[in-house]
Amino acid sequence: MQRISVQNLSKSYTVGHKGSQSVLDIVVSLFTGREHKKPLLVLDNVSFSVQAGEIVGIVGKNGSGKSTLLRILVDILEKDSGEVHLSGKVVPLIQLGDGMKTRLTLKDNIYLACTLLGFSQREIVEKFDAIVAYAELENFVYTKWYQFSLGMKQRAVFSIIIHTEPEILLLDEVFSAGDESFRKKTLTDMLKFAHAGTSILMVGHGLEILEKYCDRIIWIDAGKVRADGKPTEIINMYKEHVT
Amino acid sequence: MSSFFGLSWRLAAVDFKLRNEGSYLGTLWYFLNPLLLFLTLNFVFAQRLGADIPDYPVYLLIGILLFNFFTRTTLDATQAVRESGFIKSFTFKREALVLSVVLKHLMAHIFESGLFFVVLLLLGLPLYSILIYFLILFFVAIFVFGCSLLLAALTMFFTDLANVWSFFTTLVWFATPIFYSIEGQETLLWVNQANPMYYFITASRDGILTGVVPELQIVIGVVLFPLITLSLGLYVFNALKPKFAEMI
Repeated sequence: MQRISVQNLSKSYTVGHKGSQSVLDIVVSLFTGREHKKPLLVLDNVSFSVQAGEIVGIVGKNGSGKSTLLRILVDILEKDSGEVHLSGKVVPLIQLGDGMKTRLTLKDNIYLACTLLGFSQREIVEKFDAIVAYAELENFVYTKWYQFSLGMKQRAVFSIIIHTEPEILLLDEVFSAGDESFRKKTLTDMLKFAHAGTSILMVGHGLEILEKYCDRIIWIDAGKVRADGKPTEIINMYKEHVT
Repeated sequence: MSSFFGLSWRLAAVDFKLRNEGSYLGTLWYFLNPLLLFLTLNFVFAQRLGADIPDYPVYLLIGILLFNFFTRTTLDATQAVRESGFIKSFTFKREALVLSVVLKHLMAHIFESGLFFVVLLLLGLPLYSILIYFLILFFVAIFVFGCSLLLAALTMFFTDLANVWSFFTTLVWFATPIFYSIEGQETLLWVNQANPMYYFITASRDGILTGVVPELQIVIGVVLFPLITLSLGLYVFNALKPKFAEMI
């Protein structure tokens, strides 16, 4: 069963640009603060699919379009052209920690994030203890978010995601922080999800983790799919390219 | 739909909590701000501009409370989407960010309404008047939600709008008969035909101070302005929201 299908997806942004400005443009921008802009193609005819239960990694340099791709899949960003079809409950973990309110407690933030992810009040109450226990933060329920370490924040965020029972999980740079034991625990649970039929699309720079846990790797370079295949093969190609 | 209101309510409660976090007087400020403005204006104008207006304190307070709700909410709404940290991480109905601003200010308004209750008691006016006030407030809230949707969406593309709106609401504050009577001022009366706040404030005063049903023209204004603004706000917000995440 196909869970994600992407066909000829393209996306461009308009970005700040200094070249080819007239003198008038420069003078006007001094007063208005407005910058000269030009279009930048970040995804260029990208096509791929992900089957149920498959774990697919996406590698590429910074700015190659990986996070943009995930955001288009969940309708956070609008595509310029192409087709995107997803079948199942989609849960994104894309810079989730950025949305947390630093002056609120862990409890308030869990309630807020769960509401944003579509939980009802009853579901949150039911799952709250399990979320805190999984994150191993039982003693910090009333601690404010800004007082947590990066690893603790990541544990809380991942724990929330684990409890959403996703059918399609989109992970952006999730395993960059957090201690080794928690990382192992989450990766093991991720495999359990995949065995149960959840499709996982994982963006990251941690090549070892991607190689070990993914069934397939897609290498995106300058907005194009450069290669799509077996993890070891693609990661070796990618390593050769970046070194 | 229930999850939309649930989310709006949660966001409103979070902002309400954050606003009072670390403040010594906390929610008391919601009461103190309009109280100080009311006392100052009453002290300055009661003997002159308000001399011929019966129950001037209530007349003044209705204007202050309704106008404050409109100004504070819409000014806050200009940043509702722009300053949201969630746009690039979550998929949810973006309108909830705007509705949460309206709900947060409605919560604050409950504290302000306590002041209204006290003044009614002191002047010996019937307390059921507060029900008329809340009926009008319902229409004001819809109107304010419509304005807020428009402002939140347009500010994403025209940053200057927040400053323009701040200046504009100050102008409307002086143009609206809040601390003076409009009677006999033909030009001002003509200008206020296009001012929705004039209809809301007049309807509240008619119902509360004189106990009469407002003129048909005022009733039409109270119902029509919210409907038009909400429709326009929803249309513009929906048309622009796909681009929001790119603008942050």
